[in-house]
Order: sequence, then structure tokens, then C-alpha cells
Amino acid sequence: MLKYVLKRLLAAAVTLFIILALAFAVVRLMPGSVYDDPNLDQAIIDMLIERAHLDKPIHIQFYYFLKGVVMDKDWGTSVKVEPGVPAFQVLANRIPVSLQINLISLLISVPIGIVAGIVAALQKNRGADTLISVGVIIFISVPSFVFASLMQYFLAYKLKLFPILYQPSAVGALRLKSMVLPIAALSLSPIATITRYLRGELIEVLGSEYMLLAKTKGLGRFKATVKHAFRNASLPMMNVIVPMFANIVGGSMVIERLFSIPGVGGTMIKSINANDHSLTVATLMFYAMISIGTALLVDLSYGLVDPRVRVGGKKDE
Amino acid sequence: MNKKLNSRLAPEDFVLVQLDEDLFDDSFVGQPVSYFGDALIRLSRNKSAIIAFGIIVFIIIMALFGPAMNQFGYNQQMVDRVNLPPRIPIFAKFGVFDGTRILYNRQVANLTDPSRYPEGSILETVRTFTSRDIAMADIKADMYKMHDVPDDINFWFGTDYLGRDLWTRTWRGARVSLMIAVIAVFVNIVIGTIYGAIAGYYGGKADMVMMRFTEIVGAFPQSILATMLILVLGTGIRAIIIALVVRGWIGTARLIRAQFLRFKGREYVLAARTLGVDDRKLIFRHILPNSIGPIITRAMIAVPGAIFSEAFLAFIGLGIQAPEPSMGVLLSDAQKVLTSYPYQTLFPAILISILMISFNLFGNGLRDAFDPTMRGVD
Amino acid sequence: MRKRLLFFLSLLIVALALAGCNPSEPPPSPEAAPKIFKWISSGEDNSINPHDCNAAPNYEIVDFIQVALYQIVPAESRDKSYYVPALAEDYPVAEDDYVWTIKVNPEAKWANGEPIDANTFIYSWKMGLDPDLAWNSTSSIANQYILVKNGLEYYQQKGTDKDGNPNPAVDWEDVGLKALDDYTLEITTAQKYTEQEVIRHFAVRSTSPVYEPIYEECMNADRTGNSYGTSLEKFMGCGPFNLTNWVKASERTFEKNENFINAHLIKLDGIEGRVVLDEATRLELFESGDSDYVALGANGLAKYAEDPSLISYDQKAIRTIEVNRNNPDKAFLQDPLVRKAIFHAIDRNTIADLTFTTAAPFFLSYSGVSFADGTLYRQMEEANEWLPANGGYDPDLAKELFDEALEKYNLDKMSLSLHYSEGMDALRTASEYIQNQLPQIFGEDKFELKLQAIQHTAALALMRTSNEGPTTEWDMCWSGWHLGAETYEPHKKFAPYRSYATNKYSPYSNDFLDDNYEKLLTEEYRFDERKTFDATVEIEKSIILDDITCIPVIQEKAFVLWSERIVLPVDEYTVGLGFGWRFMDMEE
Repeated sequence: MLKYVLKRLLAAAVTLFIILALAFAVVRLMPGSVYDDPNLDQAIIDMLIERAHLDKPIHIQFYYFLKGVVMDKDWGTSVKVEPGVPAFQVLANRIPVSLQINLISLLISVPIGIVAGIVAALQKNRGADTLISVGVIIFISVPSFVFASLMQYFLAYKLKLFPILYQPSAVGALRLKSMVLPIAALSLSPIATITRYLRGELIEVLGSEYMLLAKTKGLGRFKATVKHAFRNASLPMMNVIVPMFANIVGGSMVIERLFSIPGVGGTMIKSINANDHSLTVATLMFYAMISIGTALLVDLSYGLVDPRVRVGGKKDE
Repeated sequence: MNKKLNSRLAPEDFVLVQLDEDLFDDSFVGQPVSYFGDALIRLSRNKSAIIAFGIIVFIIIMALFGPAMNQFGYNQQMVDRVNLPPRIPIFAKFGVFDGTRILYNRQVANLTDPSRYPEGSILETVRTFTSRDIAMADIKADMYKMHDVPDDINFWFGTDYLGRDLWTRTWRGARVSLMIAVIAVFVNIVIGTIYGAIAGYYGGKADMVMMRFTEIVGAFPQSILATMLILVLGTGIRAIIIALVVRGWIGTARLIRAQFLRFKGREYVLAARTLGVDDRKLIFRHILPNSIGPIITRAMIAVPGAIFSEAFLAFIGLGIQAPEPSMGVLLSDAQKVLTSYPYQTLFPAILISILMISFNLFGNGLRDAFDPTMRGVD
Repeated sequence: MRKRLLFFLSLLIVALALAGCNPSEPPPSPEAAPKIFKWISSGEDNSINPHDCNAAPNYEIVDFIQVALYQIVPAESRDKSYYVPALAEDYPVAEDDYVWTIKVNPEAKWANGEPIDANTFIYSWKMGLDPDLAWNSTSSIANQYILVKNGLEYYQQKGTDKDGNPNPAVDWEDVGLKALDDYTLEITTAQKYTEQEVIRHFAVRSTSPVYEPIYEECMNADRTGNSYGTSLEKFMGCGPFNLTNWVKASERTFEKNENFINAHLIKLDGIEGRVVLDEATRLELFESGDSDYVALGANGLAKYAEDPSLISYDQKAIRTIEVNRNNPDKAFLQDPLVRKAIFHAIDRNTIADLTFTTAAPFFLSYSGVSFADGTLYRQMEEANEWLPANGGYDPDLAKELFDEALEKYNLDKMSLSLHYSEGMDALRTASEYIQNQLPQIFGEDKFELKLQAIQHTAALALMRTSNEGPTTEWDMCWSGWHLGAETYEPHKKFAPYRSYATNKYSPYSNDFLDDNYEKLLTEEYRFDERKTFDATVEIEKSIILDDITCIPVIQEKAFVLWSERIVLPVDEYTVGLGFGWRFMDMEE
């Protein structure tokens, strides 16, 4: 088992390194230069380029970059998006804001999705199930920013129930109130995804033999579902929920823009558009770490529980 | 407690169920039903999937022939007829889509100026007020009269900022979006299937390396890969398709790999290999057909995702080349004038929503139909 | 038991998630401070360092919290502006043709009450021009309205000259910026200047002081980078307001600075600002009273076009189409004939109507001042009488020129591409219109225009390629820039179009422009505004009528609404001062 964990950790580290190298290369090969300010004299641009080692071959540049990361934890300094601020600091300022909203939204979505899923499965093809299924289809099909704009227009602008914008430095009730709409908008799609998944799993499990046994033993339908069926369905549900986290951390750009939330959402695209290479690489690595980390988490938890999953055998085995 | 209960059961407590009838083997009365035949039967019983399929077919037909249904071209600009509201003669009787619009904050002094408001264009005054000591009014106006449009010319979905007919553009946009989505999904499925099949079939080192590669590609968020690619390639239909493909195949590859891991150890595969069937034949003739159901389902569910991705790219300014429309371009242009010309958002938004819901419903229906555990159940 | 544990665990996670909302200073309540301007802007700020302030969203903030030796204030007449001493005690005194002295006001203070003196300025300027820090917007300290002796040489000493040789080292002692004593500055210029020019120069944003103790703390180890002004703690202001809360690109709150030297001119008690990128949301905030100001786009204009409180003004940049003269496949683009045909085929008035801009068949914008009394260049008859009629639109002439060009180059068809920037809606609309219009004029079978969207910085990089060597990558591309110096010296706009300019977009060659621009730099012209004006007109004539150096199309226009409780110090947008935001008042 330990060997398996170590193997997976090593593989994840190698993967991250390859991603870093790739990200660095791709970003450097993009058209345009970091220093292209028309206000600057070409002579000064040349000096800046030389100082940042941008005139050297790409592998030498990568060496300097790696040295900075390893020796001084220096991911480079942002040049355009937040000039003068270390790329790491830019992210450190913005990530907590995004994380907070997304975490709360996930914490809300999971229980609601689970309850809705169980109800839909138990009431299969009856009124409640139909209602939930229609909701699921709508929440999955219609993009979240549409709901966000609608809520902002009707609930905040027309009815004045909530502030129109997120209040980053307000405290207490106002702050919480200003978080309601973005969180609600972000939660719809995860709720629908969890509900849909759980409903499917539960319906399959409910038809299986051991559920028949549980019922024969005299367990009530609800109790049987929660105690036996739900437990069985909840492990593979990690597979849905954990990557969802990676998705919503990176995917709330439009919501952040709409409610004016100073989060990390738009940083990546802004930095690409502005040729802010250090920040682009740092942000890419942030996303890569989340993506690889969550995959690792799912893999390991699976491997712990189900030894069959550990890397599928050779074809002749 | 259960044990105690069991121990109290005596043999005479049990009664044979079929005591009064003899048991015979039934002979088959029906025709044997193939896998696809079975799926088709179950699909045809799923009402929502059939309706969804009907809607998809209708939209495809409209996307093909809709642009030709009136006299306007998709890039035909009429600069004296910009931002006209929709006028549909059948609906106009009921007071909707009648080519009128409320004009806010108009100076009362200008209302009598026939060069601005021709005879009969002002239908009613909704509200009068004063702003900075000037008499103002909100009026309801017939925009077609205001712009001297003859009575027999109707823009069913209205016109845009260059006076282009939105009916033509909406359907043409649907065509472009569908085309992008279908091509991207098809390429994704082909690449993903071959990749997943090889990784799953050969397993071991090859699998390890290939799956690491998908992890690497998968670690770059879609929107970011798309942005970078479009920066390098320039915007355009081709660039957007590539942007959708570059990471989109991973899901299929993982699915197919899992399927192969499941089936490659089965006895029939072993038997085939013993008989000397080569790898290629084993992969494509013997194992892959098991996965056709999930593949088709996946493709159906991926299409709305691709349509949405295209719309998202247009929203962040990476749409396809002007003047070609697409759902994303239409929506992002319309969204900028949402509160003033809501109809410009209305039609593309309804169309894209219906399209997404239909594909999802149809995909769900297909999944249920192909799902072996659902076989025979209903 | 397990359930309870789970419950507490989830409570803990929620608490942790909420812990991110650490309380900061509560903003002053509106009752306590009655005159609070609610400011919703659309620009994403990222620095308040006066040395690194090169984008409009940053200027807007810096102008509230910084001040230089002189500052521009609105005149009583509400239609003009003039300069008054701010951190300076009085106007500059000319010692001789090249040497000026300026007294620093002994009352000048930082926001924290510490004194500002001549050494503060010398430190700030030295750091601003520091060759290793290489700020990208500070060359204006040495060269904006005046050219400081050895200033640029000091700033650029780490660079190389045209032939690749390293620039000579320059000592700070040799730069014409000195403190004679604690309150006297001595400025040595490289040329002769007027008093107005010196005053204007030391009102420029980048010449405002930086706070030495914090600036030194923000310096990196090898003194090649500085993080001053990247967060609230790393900044000290001396302007009309103090920034009390700042979340980059999202929120900014200001309070009146009682230590501001001209505090008596400031009527507001504070400002509460938010950045909102979505136009519809901005309008919602304005209509619900959460904002006192809104800039309108197409959406808002549909509703407020006739509103009496709508104010429109021309923005500085003129949008032009650059033509690639270094395209070996399309040598005909070097010929003014082709450029002229396109110039006359563009219906600027219609495009202006469609895009809410001003038709611009000219090269110099509406906002340049040519005369000391404030008369704008474009207000003069001589600058307009020769302009082609009908916004330059003449389809018959265009067709004639086009056919002539086809014949001359022995072509059946001309097929060109036009790159437009993503995210600039007016340019996309104009491009779509032109793409539709040009073939109708030139003949559908004889002319084809392909549109290509491109991201803004990529467009700049693309255009520069043709300056470096032959390229077939582009034919035509939108551009539009505006130089700070243009405001009082409109002819500075020509500088990048000289054949020997670096950083230009295409190998331009307009001998007339080259020769006459040189003349404009001589003292004979510099001290004679009439002569300068006449020469400027001649150069613009040559650009528009003969060479068509590039094809001007539209000038951007802004539309804004102010809430009724705001009392602006000027009646209209004025050059130099704008709306004079800092001096606005509010009705009780």
C-alpha cells in the first residue's frame, strides 16, 4: 500500500514538473513580448530584456526561473496586471476571496444535492422526481451567469433584497448579504450535477439483491436507502464532487466579473492578454496543482478502498 | 436477534410455492432482439427523449433553411434601420412583436419634430416628467414608422446594430455553432476512442505514460488553453474547433480506457486471442463494440457543452470572425444592449437554451436506452 | 455521536470559510460625512505609484491622492482652467535662459503631517529617472513640456544607441535638477522655455513626490525593482484626498486630506468608489442612486440620448487604419494612390452614427490646444477649411482612384485584410461596415476585404514586424494612440510617423513631414505659436491630402451622466482639467 501511495505521489510530482516546463515554454512562445511598452525607449527595453534573461535561449531562461522558484520561492514579478507585485503575492491576495465563495457554495451544494438526489430516487417517476429532474436539466443546461444576471436584476436591483455588488471590505451582515447572490448562482450547477449523479446511482442500487435482502430483514424503505444504498453510492460520488471543486475555483470568472468580486477568476486571461508571463506561469501552476491534487486525492482514496483500481494490469495478465 | 428468530422456524413453516402447477420450460415466442434494437425500443418509449430529438431535428432544419426564408442576407446592412424591434404580423394583433418600443427620456419639445418622429410614429405617451427644468416624456413609438419601413417588410426577430436581419443571423448562427460543436465533438470522440482503447488494451507502462499525458493536458484549464491557442492561431472557426478539441478528448479517452480494462480480461477475448486474432482486430472488432452505447451517449451530451464553450469564448472576446454570426457572438453582442433592446438577447437565448436542454434530454434517453442494467427493466 | 461530530466539523469548515472576512476599518457612515461622492468606474487599477502610473484607471486614483509643485484648477468663468502653485510657494523664476528656480512651500506636508521640502523632490526625481529601476512612464520627468539637461541621458544610460554601443554613463550631479537649499529647487533645461511650459511641466503627475522612508523599504535587494504604491501600506500621499481603503480593481475609499496644501479648494468630504466592468450593472447602480456618475455605451445611450444631463466630449485618440508598406506581395500598398482610394471610400459620418463617435477625416484630434488663450487646434478655420468635404467620403473619386491603381499595377482584383482589436466594439462595427461598403464602391468582383480579429497587444506586435522587415502577415490594421504632450503641442502627434522614428508601425516615408517636423523643434518656431500652428497645418495637409500616411476614420467620444446632486466646477469637459472632479461640490 505504502508503495502505491509513494508511486502515485512521485508520478504527481513528475507530472507537475512536466506541466511547469510546458507552461513555461508555451508562454514564452506566445506572440508579443513582456516588455513592449510604447512609452519606453528601445534601449531601455533591451536592458530590461537582458536583465530578465529573455535574450537567452529558452532552456537557460527556464534554468533561471527554476533557480528562483527553488532558492527564493520567487515565481517572478508581475509586469502588467499588477506591476511590481510578486506573482505569488498576486495569487495569494486573490485566491482566498474566490476560495471562500466557492467553498461555501460547495458546502451548500453537497447536502442539498444529496437530499434532492435521495428524494428523487425514492420517488422515482413520481411528482417530486419529475420536478427535481426538470430542475436538474435546467440548471445543467442554462449557464450560471444567466441565473446570476437574472437574480442580480430582480432580487437586487428591482426588489432591493440584496446589494447589487459584492462588498469586499464590509463586515458582518452586509458582507454576508452581498455574498448570497454569487454563492447562489455558483451553487445551482453543482447541486444539479450531484442530484443527477446520486439519483442514477441510487436507482441502480435500489434494484440490487442486497437491497432486497435489507428490505426482507424488515428495514424501512427510507432507512434502507440511507443506511445501505447511499453508503454504497457515496464513495464514487467523491469522483464527482472533488473535481467539481477544481472546476468552480477556476470557473467563476463571469460571476466574479458580474458581482465585481476581486477574485482570481479573470487573472489568467488578463495575464495572457497582457503578456504578463510570470503571472501566467504562476497561475497556470496554481490550476495544475489543484487539478493534479484532486486527481491524486480521488485516486488514493479509491486505491485505499478498492485495491483493484491500482493501475490496471498488463494485457496478458 | 435474527438468529433467535431463525432458530424458531421449523421445517413445516415452509410451503412450496408452485405446488399446484407443473413446471415446464417455455419456448421463445418473440424474435430475438439485438442490442441496438433493444435500445431503440426503449428509447422510443422515452417520451421526453423523442420530443427532444424532434426539436433537435427541427432546429437543424431551421439552421439549414431558416436563413433563406426571407429576402435578407446575413451580412446585408441597412444602416437606416438599426436596432428595430421584431415585427411578426400574426402576433402583432395581440400586441406583442408589433414593432413598437417604449422610448425613455425624450424631450417633449422634440416630439413634434416630423424629421425625428414622422406622422403616426408616436402611439402614446406613457409618462411625463421634468428633468433639470426640461419637459420630458416616455413614449411608445412604432419604430417601423419612425424609420420609414414599408408595411410589408417585417423583421421577425428585429435587426441589430448594423441593421442586419436577426432572423437570418440567428439561424445562420445556430448553423455555425452546431457545425463547430459537431465537428469538435466528432474529432474528440475519434481521438479519445483510439487513445483510450490503446491505453486500456495494452495497459502497464503504456497505460501509465498515456494516462500521465492526459493528466498533463487536463491540468490546463479549458478556457486558458483556448485563449492561448486563439492568440497564436488568430480567431476563426478553425481555431475555435482546435481549441475545443485540444482538451476535450480526454474524457472520452478515460471512459474508453475504463471500458477496455473491464472487457479485456473476459473469456471471449481470451478465446479470440488464443485463436490468433491480432491486436488491432481484438481492439476494434471484439472489445470496442461494447462501448458504442456509452460513446454515442457521451457525444450527445458533449454537443451542448461544445455549444456553450463557443458561447463562452465569444463572451470573453474570442468569438469567430466578424461578420459571421454564431450563437456566442449573437449573445455576447446582445448582452451589451440587454436592457435597451432585450429582444436581441431573447431569441438567441431561447434557442441556445432549447438546444442545450434537448441535447441533454436526448442524451439522457440514450444513456438509459444503452445501459445494460436497464435492459428489460421498465 | 458521529453525526454530532460531522455537524461540528461542518460548522468548523463554515467558520473557517467565513474567517476570510476579516474585519477592516468600517467605512465612514454617510450621516457623519455628508458630501460623499459615489464613484463607479469601469477601469481596473493596479498601482498608485506616481512613478509607475501608465493607465487611465491609475491616473484617476493618483490624481485624487497626489499633487505636484503646480496644479491645474478651474477658473471662475467655469469654462477654462489655469495653473496655481501647489507644493510650490510661487511661480518659477527665470535666472537666465536655461536656469529656473522654484521655491517649495514651507507649509507643504505629507498626509501624515511630515514636511515636504526640496530634498523630497530631488529624491523623487532621482528615483523616477533611475536607470536601473527603468520605470516606463517617468521619462516625462526629464522630457515632457521641458527637456531637463542630461535628464534623458541619465535615465537611458544603461541602454544602447542605434548602433548597439552602450550609452555613456551619466552622473546624477550632471542632471539639471538640484536643491540649492532646503526650500529652493534649481532646474537647468536643455533649451529655452517659457514660464508656462515650466509650470505645466512641474504639474505633471510623475513629477509629484514619493515618500522616501516607504520608498526605500519597498526597494528590492539589488535596487532594480520597487513595489511602492502596490498596496495601501506601501504608499504615502500628499494630494487632496487620502486613500483609506483600497482593494485593487474593485474598491477604493477616500477621505479629505486636511494636510493638503490647497485644502480650501476641496469641497468633498470623501469618495466611495467601486470598479464595475459590466455596463448594464453600472447603469443599474446609477439609477438606484448608488452611483453619482456613469459613462454610457450603446445600451445606456438608447435610453438617455435626449436626457438634458447627458454630457458628451471628444476623447483624445483618433482611430486610424495603418497600412503595411512593407508587404512584398502587395507592393501597391506603398502607393498613396491605393491608400487615397480607401480613404475616400470610407463613409465616416455613417460609421460615426453607428458607433457613437465623431467622424475624423483628419489626423489631429479635437483636444489639442494650439494657443495660449486656450484656443484648440481644430477650432481654427485654417485647420479645417481644406479638409475633404463630407467627412472625406467620395465614392466616385474613390472608384476612379481605385481603377487607376488596378490599371497601374496590372491587377484584376485587390484582396486585402483588416485586423481589428478584440474588445473594441466601435472598431469592430466600423470594420464590418467597411468590409460591406468597400466592395460595393470598388466592385464586388474587384475588391475583397477579409476581417481578422486580433488581441490588442498582439496587434501592436504584428504592426511592428513590418518595421523590422518585409512581412505578408498583415495589410491593414487599426491603431490609435495619443501622446500626453499632444495636449499643448498638437504637432507631437507626428513624431511617430517620421521616417526615422523608432517604435513605428510601418516604414513610413514622408519627406515633407520629416523636414517640417525638424523645423518645429527649432527655437524660431517654438516661441511663435502662430508659426507653429501654420506649420502643423501644413504637415497635416500633406498627411491627409498627399501621402495618406495612415487612414484616419473616427475620433472616440465619451458620454457621461452626473447625478443632480453633483455640482461640477466647469460647465463642460475642458482640456487639461476634464470635469475637475477633485473640485466638485455637492448640493446639501
